[in-house]
Amino acid sequence: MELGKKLEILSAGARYDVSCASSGSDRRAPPGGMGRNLPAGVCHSFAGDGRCISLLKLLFSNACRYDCAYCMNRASNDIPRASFSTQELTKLTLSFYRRNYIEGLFLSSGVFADPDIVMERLVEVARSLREDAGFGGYIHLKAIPGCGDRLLKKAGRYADRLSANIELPTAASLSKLAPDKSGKEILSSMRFIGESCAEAREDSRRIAATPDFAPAGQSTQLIVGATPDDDMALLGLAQSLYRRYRLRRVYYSAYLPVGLDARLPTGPPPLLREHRLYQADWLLRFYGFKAEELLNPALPNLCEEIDPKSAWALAHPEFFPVELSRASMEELMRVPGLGATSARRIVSARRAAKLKPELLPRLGLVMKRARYFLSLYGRALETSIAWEGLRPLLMDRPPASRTPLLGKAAWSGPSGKPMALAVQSQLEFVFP
Amino acid sequence: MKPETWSYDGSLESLLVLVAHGLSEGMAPASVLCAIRPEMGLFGNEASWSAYCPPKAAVDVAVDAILEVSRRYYAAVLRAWMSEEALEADLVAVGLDCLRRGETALGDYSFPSLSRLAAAVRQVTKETHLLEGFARFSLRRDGRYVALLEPQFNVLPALAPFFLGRFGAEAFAIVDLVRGFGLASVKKGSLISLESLNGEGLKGVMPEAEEEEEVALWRSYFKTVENVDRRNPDLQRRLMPLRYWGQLTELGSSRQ
Ligand code: SF4
Repeated sequence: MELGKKLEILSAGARYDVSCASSGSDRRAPPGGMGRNLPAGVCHSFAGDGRCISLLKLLFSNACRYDCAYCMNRASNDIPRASFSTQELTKLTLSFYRRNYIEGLFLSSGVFADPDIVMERLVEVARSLREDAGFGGYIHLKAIPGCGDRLLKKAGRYADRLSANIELPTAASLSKLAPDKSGKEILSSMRFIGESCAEAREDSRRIAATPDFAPAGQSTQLIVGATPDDDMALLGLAQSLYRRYRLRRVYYSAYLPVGLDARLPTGPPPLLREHRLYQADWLLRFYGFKAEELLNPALPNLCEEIDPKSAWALAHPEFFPVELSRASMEELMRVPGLGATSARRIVSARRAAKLKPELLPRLGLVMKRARYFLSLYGRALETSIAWEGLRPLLMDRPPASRTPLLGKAAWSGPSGKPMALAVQSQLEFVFP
Repeated sequence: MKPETWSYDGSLESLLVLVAHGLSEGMAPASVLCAIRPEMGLFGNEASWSAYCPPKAAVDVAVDAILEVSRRYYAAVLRAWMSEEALEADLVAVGLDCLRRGETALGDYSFPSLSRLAAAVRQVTKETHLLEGFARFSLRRDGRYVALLEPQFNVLPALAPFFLGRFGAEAFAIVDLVRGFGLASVKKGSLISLESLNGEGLKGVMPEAEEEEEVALWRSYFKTVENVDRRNPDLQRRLMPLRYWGQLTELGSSRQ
């Protein structure tokens, strides 16, 4: 099969894995090599569905022995099958990387043989890129369900990030839709990866030459809407994965119908639900919220009309108004419409000078929602609307599709003189 | 005291000397004439102080003086220059404020000079970050990868470290088609202007022919990864503004 056709089949097979990040790792190529990772990650393009394209996301093979009902690559699905060779994959990755199409490679695979054999193939591609080609770009490897720790250990040496996809939040859902997979095995891989990352970090503090182990950590993916599991189950699981296995990221993927199966829903993908889960997840990771603050058994699903932070705010009138002149970063970040950047700007501005209402727009704050929840020197910024009237003002329009939540030179001036190379190192972050 | 007008040639070296002059004099000029801005020809006769083609020693002294204020301030001066906006007097005013109050001054958005400077710096930073992703390179027969860019701001110097890290020992060049200059790598870790590279300037690094195989593979990949059930062109355009589409291979640009 020609390379173009393989690329078409094996990229189509990989597109349901929504992980796209190339961040979290700071890696340089060895001398004579090429490629560099920056912790912030880079989006190189955006697909027609608005998703960031940062990595060349491919399957090594789409042949699979397993029969997960939600997956187009399942054994019982009659589709063309293909596999790459290690050489084809390394060549393609380097060729795309040099043209600045991608930050690196995301490699997964169908389980076409014993999981250890499949994992070995993925590790070999990563090894070849790192050792034969001296590649310093990003590599994300999927942990094949059921593969042994020995191979995960090897994978972590070459990959920036590893991921073991849990896919469904309960053992019952997993045995219903993915009977060949074992939740226990997936969690055991996550535990092993989490512990190995922590060990490598700890050792590198004492011994500089400690080999890396997946410096960008691990992530996982949960499918939304393929089973009746509620948001509380999904978010509760995500929270415990963040805490227990120090996951960097849980991705939520709205279920897309991939064939007729009585076990699966037939309706359109629950895009808004996926969007709300991302918003809530963001609050867990960066805003100090806990899952139980956002959802409870009486309210097991996120509100469709209002974002999770606004919904929390409306349920907690006792917390507001937040006083701009002295609130902490944590308190400011709980205000609907204020993010970490806005909170940082407020704190930095009030250190420099007395805050005045006319200064707020100059800080670049978006006050559309925030003004209902803020006061300055004891005076509420907005008094025209009663608390009970806020709800309709905080509703947002459902997004039409997935919104990624977000991401020394010499030159001559007119004087014709080259500028000192050293200035380049000064071009870092200047203003929040 | 009569309000001061200063002038300079528009180069970064001269801007650094101008800013350092303001810091040492303890005063910001009322206005600044820049030789490459339309309001003035090359010679600003009415200026009471000017910086044209300063010697290297003067630039080195200026860099030290600005760094002494703060590294963040220095970074702001560099990005202000890249923005090509008339921010010279603001830069001096903010620098003097920093000398008085330390780095706290860089958070005082009630100061109009700081607020203007911060807005320009943010724009340049954003453009730099976008182009780190959207630059597209193609391979020339001499083994050099070349990207042709049309940046809104003068950001090649800010992009250079990113691509130096990326290409390692491999040869590359980035070209600013709007301003008609480029930077080329000569050995790992250093860049020179195109004129110094081959004497041919831009001509010497222009791509030769479209790389059909790589382009076709990339376009096919770009098409396949889209989830058509979730098509959202508005979101795509918001995240990838139309002004960059001309240089994106996957969207049909044949420039590469
Ligand atoms: S293991 Fe399941 S999810 Fe993975 S490729 Fe095979 S069928 Fe698809």
